[in-house]
Amino acid sequence: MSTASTFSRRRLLSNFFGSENPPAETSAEDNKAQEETVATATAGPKATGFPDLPPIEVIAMTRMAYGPRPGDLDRVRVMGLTAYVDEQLAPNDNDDPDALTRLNNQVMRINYSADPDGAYPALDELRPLNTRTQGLTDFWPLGLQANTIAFQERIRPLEEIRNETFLRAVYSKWQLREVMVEFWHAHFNVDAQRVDSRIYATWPLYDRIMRANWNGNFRVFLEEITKSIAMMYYLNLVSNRNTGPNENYARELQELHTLGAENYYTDPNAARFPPGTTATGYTEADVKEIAKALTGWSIESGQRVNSSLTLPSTGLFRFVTQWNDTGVRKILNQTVPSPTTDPMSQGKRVLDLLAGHPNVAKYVVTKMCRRLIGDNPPTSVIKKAVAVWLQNVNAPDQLKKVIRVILLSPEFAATFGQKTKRPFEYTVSFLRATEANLSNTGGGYTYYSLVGEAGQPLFLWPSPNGYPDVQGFWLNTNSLRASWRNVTAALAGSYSTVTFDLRSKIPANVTTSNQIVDFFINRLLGRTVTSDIRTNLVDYLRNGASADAVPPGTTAEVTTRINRLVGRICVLPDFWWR
Amino acid sequence: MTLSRREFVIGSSLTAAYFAGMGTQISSVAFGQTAPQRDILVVLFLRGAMDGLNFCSPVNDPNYIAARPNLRMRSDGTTPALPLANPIGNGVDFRLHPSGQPLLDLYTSTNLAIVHASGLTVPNRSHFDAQALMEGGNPNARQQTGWLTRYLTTIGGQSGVVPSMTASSNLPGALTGSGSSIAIPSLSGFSLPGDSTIFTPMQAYYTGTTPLHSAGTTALNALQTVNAALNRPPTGGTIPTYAPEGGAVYAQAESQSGTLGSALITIARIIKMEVGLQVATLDVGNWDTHNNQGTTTGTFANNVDSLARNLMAFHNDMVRYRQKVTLVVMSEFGRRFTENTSGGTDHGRANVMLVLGGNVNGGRMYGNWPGLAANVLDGGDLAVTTDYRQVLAEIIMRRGLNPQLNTVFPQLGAYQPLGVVKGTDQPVV
Repeated sequence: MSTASTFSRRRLLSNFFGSENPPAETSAEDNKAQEETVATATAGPKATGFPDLPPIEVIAMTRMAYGPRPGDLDRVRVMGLTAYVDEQLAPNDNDDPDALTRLNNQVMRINYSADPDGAYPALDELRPLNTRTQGLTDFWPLGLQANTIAFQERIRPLEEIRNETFLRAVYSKWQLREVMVEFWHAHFNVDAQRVDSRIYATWPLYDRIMRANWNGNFRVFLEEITKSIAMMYYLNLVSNRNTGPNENYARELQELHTLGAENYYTDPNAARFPPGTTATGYTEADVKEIAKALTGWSIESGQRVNSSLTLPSTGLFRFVTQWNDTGVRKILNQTVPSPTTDPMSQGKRVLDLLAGHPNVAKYVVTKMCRRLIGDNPPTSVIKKAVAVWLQNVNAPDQLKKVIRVILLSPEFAATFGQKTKRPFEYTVSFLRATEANLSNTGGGYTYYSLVGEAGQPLFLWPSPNGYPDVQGFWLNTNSLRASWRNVTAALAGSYSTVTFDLRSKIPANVTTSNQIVDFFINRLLGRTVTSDIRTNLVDYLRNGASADAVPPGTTAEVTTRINRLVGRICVLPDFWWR
Repeated sequence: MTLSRREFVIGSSLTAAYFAGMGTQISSVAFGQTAPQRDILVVLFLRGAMDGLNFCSPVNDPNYIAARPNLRMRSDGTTPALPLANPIGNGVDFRLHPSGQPLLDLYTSTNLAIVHASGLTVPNRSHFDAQALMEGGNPNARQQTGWLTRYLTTIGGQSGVVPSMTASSNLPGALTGSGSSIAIPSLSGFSLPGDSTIFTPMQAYYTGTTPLHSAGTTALNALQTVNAALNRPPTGGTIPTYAPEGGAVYAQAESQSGTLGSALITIARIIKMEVGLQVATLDVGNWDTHNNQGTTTGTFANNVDSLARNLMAFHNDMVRYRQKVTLVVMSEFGRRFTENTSGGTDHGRANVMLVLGGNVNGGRMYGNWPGLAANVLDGGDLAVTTDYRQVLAEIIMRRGLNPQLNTVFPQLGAYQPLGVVKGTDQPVV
């Protein structure tokens, strides 16, 4: 903490390791941040219904995966947490048979009527997920309004990524990657659908940035995001020019991607630092200066620069020297000189300053812990992970090391029930635990609309802050009702593209109502439930017969009761904790 | 799925048990015995930027006539626009779009007020940004919560069974951060279908005191209460056909999900259930008329027709609730003053707001008409002379009985009510 100064010591210390000791004066943003962390503190371990600490394999499969598929808990128990974490941190795409089969065989309907002016014919086909092997030159023309193309074709790349995301979450062996890709999508949130057609037409490229960098280096990651088509258009960096800087990206870069609102000084007089040190937080002046430092960072989309230069329309990143403001500036109390050899040096220097900043480490690590541990993660684990982050600022596997220290911390293993699943996790974990078969008969829309109705449609959060990651936001009537409905309606066969065969999963030696109930409790939850709940489940299945007898009724009746038994386990509070 | 007699009986008995067990909570919420008599706020957002200049048009303004040679409303011809009494401006002949006759009737009966030249005080012609800023409640900076969320928070109004809802599929920006808001795009889907036996056990599963258990109980109560009012169990079934009151005829049927008529019917039904509703929102799109906007017929005219007939229907349907409901219509910005070459209009600045209800000082226009001369335009478009938030602030102050304007609308500045609605002002907090 060499940047500590007498001018800002209170602010600095309280921001850094003392979140339990909030400063006396807090901004609105501070209050908001604190609300997020205390939102769940009311549920102490003494609240009725609070879960006991489950076995480590349950914790691991619930928080660094989208819940266990049958066999996962045994596997992790046998190999041990450390080996499982290390395996997950180094995914091998070729070793992912279930997901690859699904992705290769998936078809998703696309249909539209003919263009009234005859520019394209009507179409109705079952199309594979072709964008997996396509690139910018395929996507870019789809987003251009000058091209007369059916809307369904323009948005197809986004729809395919939604489909892929769902299939990977349910079937991929590399669950931690999926969890962290979701995390980074929220951290670098872009509304994929409602801002600009160039965003959804090229969405696979943005998704690939998450997949390439989730366990890499934050500085590299940040520059990839800054230069991406999606972020460029979402937060207007594409039109940030010396003749009229657009501060949108510069603000969110600091407030949401790096320093966090907790390090925003509304009062510039409170942000005075000794010469040569880096400011602990940012002011309005930093927003303005960072915007200027990033002028000229743009995307080639046919803009006219001057009478002798019009950019091609390619979608490629382009630094436009003519739009760059080269003035010397002060950013985060550091002097940023005019460019000399590298014309992009000012923007890069901004990213360097942020990526190496201790409060950036703390802000991002805290968010990672909030995802991987709980809404109010222990300060001790944040400290350890921040130290690893800062020691590895230049390491290509910086984020891998940070994730590792979090997952192998005692705090990870000692914490459970500080958070509930979000709708996407909940529905995916239900599909995993029940070995649901997501068919490829042309749907694709069904399963992600399931999650959308619950309030978490993929890549549709409108604001740059991303889907909230505290249970206080999600524990609401709509999210619960729609999520429960996904379970009850799906198990009743309401969705043709989601089918189950639960009865066939029961081993031959599991025959009585008692045994069947215990089998499914263990399979779905990996731990026991209260005796009241177990009795309720057994009573339902035995339907008046002995609990130690085979469930009575016709095959169809018993099958229905078994499906509904599984539904009851999945709507339990126990299935929501993480 | 039809409702069997057996399921109906189960539903009824569940309802009885529910009211027996939870009577205190429900009666206070349902009938508002303890809550102040604040209005239910209904916020209708016209997504895509409605052309206020062709909705409520200064038909005799020579600048208007010049800027829209093809695409303007007229005082003559076969389908003249409808003259408005008590206009603003000096000698401006303001007329309502000819497809808006039901709105003129509401205006004449003083239930409808029109505010012109309102909008964001900071120019922004991006749908996305402008909607986010407008619904965030601060034109100067993005907010993490919506203005309606903060309205609800400051009235402590998040405790009813259905304190706030949207009749769209997703919560609007104005309700961002409101965990208690419920999206009910259709009432028929507001259930837990698939297992008619699951509901009672679920109530037992969620009897704990953690936030998860509490939220689960709240959700189950909402399912039970709303579905009881629909005479079906919370596990689904057909819902009774809705019979609007007051001779109301909505322009679309409830079953036409996604339409304005269907959404307003959903809201009307929930208002009549008396389940603690404080805020309802709904969206209607298709206002982004860059091409082939039309004049007295076509896209825009059809939109106005649907809007006018549905608002009239809602007003009639609310015959027993008129004094308790205030509805406001808004849009992110108006459209470009000068028509484009595609028979449409591009993105502009100021726009019209409508305020409808039994406590509206209707029958007149409000605002400060800036005129359309070149030197008073804002970037070529109708200038904003009324901060849209002043209209909303007055509504939440006088009809919402909530003086906490500085929280709901950060950086509002001085509260300057236009007198659009009846009620009294308190000191601003």
